[in-house]
Amino acid sequence: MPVPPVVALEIGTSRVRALVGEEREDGYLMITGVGECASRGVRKGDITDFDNALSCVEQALKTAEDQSKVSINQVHVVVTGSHIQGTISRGTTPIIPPDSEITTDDIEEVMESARAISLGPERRTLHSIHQQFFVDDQEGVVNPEGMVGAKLSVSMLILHGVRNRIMNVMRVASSAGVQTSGCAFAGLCSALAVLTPEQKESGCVVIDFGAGTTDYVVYANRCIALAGSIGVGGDHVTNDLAMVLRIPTGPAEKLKVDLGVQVPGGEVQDQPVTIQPSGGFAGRTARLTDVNAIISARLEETLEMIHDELRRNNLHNVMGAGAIVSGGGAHLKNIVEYTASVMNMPCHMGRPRNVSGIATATEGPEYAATVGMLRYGIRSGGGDAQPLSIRGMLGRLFGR
Amino acid sequence: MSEPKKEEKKTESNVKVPSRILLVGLGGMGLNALTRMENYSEEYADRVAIDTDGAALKASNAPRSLQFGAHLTDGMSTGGDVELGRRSANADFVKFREIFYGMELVILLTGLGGGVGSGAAPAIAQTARDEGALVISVATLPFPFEGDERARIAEKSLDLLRRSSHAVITMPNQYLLEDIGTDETMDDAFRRADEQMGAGFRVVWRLLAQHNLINLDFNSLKHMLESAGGVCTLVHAEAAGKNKAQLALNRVMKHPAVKNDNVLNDANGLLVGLLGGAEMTLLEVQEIMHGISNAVHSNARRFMGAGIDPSMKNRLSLMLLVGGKAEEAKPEAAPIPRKPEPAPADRKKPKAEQKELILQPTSKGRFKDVEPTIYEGEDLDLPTFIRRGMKLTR
Repeated sequence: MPVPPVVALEIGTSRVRALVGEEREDGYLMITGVGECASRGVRKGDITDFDNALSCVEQALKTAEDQSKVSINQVHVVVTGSHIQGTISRGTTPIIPPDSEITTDDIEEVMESARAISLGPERRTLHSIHQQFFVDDQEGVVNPEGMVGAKLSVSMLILHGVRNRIMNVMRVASSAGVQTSGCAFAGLCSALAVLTPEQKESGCVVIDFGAGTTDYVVYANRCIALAGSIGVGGDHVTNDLAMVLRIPTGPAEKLKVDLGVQVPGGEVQDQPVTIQPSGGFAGRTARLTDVNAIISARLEETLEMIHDELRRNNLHNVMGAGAIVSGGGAHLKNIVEYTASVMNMPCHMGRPRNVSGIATATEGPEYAATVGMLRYGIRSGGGDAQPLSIRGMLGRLFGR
Repeated sequence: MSEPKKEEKKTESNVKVPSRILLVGLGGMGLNALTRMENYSEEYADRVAIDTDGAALKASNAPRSLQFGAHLTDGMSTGGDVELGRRSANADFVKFREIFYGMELVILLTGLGGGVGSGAAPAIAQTARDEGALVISVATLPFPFEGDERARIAEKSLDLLRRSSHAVITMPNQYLLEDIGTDETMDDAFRRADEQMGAGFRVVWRLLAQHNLINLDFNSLKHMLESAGGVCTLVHAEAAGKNKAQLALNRVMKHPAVKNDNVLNDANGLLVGLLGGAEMTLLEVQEIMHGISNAVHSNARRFMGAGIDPSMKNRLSLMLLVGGKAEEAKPEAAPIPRKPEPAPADRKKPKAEQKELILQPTSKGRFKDVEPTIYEGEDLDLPTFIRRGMKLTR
């Protein structure tokens, strides 16, 4: 029986994107429809104007439908926002009788106890990803089934966010007349789309620079060690330029795109930069060194927040494959070199892997999260409306 | 106005829908303040004592008490451990949601520098705010002799508290030393400070609760606090006799909290509350308003309320809530980067640091209407360039 196409929807801060795709037998994703629309009513990943966001979603879905010639009934929704946090939870269960063989029931039970953390009524779990098992405190057990012990523990990464904010995103989708068959964190989706098995194996951090948020996912010690979202994105760079230079956001955005970020160490001759007039703005000149300083101050700060998080968890030395940047912000000039220099590790551009079909969606790092969502949607059971159960999902995350 | 009795009746019947006001004492300092302010809460404000320390709660006479973090502290005090205070508050925040449910105004009394006050107050204020209450935190700052470490802790949590509350009223303990009588006991000194605060708030909730000669409503209070940019000063004075207006005015103006930092001169928002007996004259009201207006910057937003309290026969209660610094109201007009402020401010006293921070709400550009992204006490929506005190090369 042919698998029906899956639809991924990302209601981003700068763009709303809908992708229609199906998995081919060789594992490649075949993208058959792309719908895209400049986003309105979204700030820092959160819905701030429902009606505006809705009309963008409707438009994106319509375009995707027209292009793929399917009627979209269900979508998988990408969520982000600085409210999304990762908590590492550890569950423990006794093996009864002691020193007997560990069964799948024991594993199920210990994972259940690790999942049962109290997040408060306003939060909900997005993903619970198991990291490693411990049998009688022996670390790093990948599969404890059949082992013998008295005590089984597991550490899990619980990704959770504010229920209402997630609901708001889902509600925009459902108001557009489609069912939502689950949601996933943007950072995780990006990682799923861009990473090679080798990168996961050697340890790496995926940094997805969005317009509203910067999401990160850390693979270390053969598991997803950390993940989170910082409420700072490309919009902040633009806003910083606008605020400090006192220019409108339009010219500020152009300035950012034209100049990109200056890699530390490279000598730059200071020179005037002309900011063209637009609208009611009369135009002016700024100094290149100032513009560079404003942009790099912001990016450095954001990257250092991620680096600090790595250092706090003692993971900064195990990033063998370094940093992989994706998201719309990955188009910023010199961002790869800049990230490498601030994070003090190798850095690569992360583009969606193993994708064919419509070119725009297969090449750009800005499609990483949406493409990843497609892959995620297909593996979590395609069109059916199962909430994302992660049991076994991790194996698949690593599988390819 | 010549018939006090009739007036009294009128006041009674004019009571609005009761405001839901909650007076919270948090931590050792807060519990003491709550006890001392007991007589001022009247029927307008509910009181609740909050602490990790079960014994301290038992000793307080508040009608309601709430213990939190008991599983982390074993029901004892935090012993000055700020991190423990913070974690305890976060662990039990559901309890706080329950007590703040449906409240319109929450006044959080606490002392900064210790574990519960510094650690838990910002989280608790945030919970109250999330529940939809207008949150005013009253924070006592440590004495200088308590040491630098405590001052640093207090300063850091004050910054957090300022972000989670609508307004913070600081009560530096050192003011107590300034107009102290030589034989005043410690208890008296603290009592005096708390009673003054209590009497000030009594004016606020009285004015909110009843229909007045000059009405003060909830929105005015909210506007005033919002325009204040977070840090407020509250002073109160009472006077009796023939010259009571002049007397009360003088007392307020000479209060160390007003006099020392030139707050009136720098204010960008001001709320004057007056409560008097039925014999209060318009002339008296005018005298006081005139006196205060002369002292404030012409750009400052002014709000006032004046009401009759039959029990205040021949007495006058004057409350002054001053917010913010006037120069910070201007960055829209003046180019921010050229202001030489951020860098030198770092080296100044803590007071100056607060002053600089008030600049923030107006310089956030496209993020001004969305919830701020706070990371380790910094508002990330503000340009990094400005927060780091960098300057344009010109």
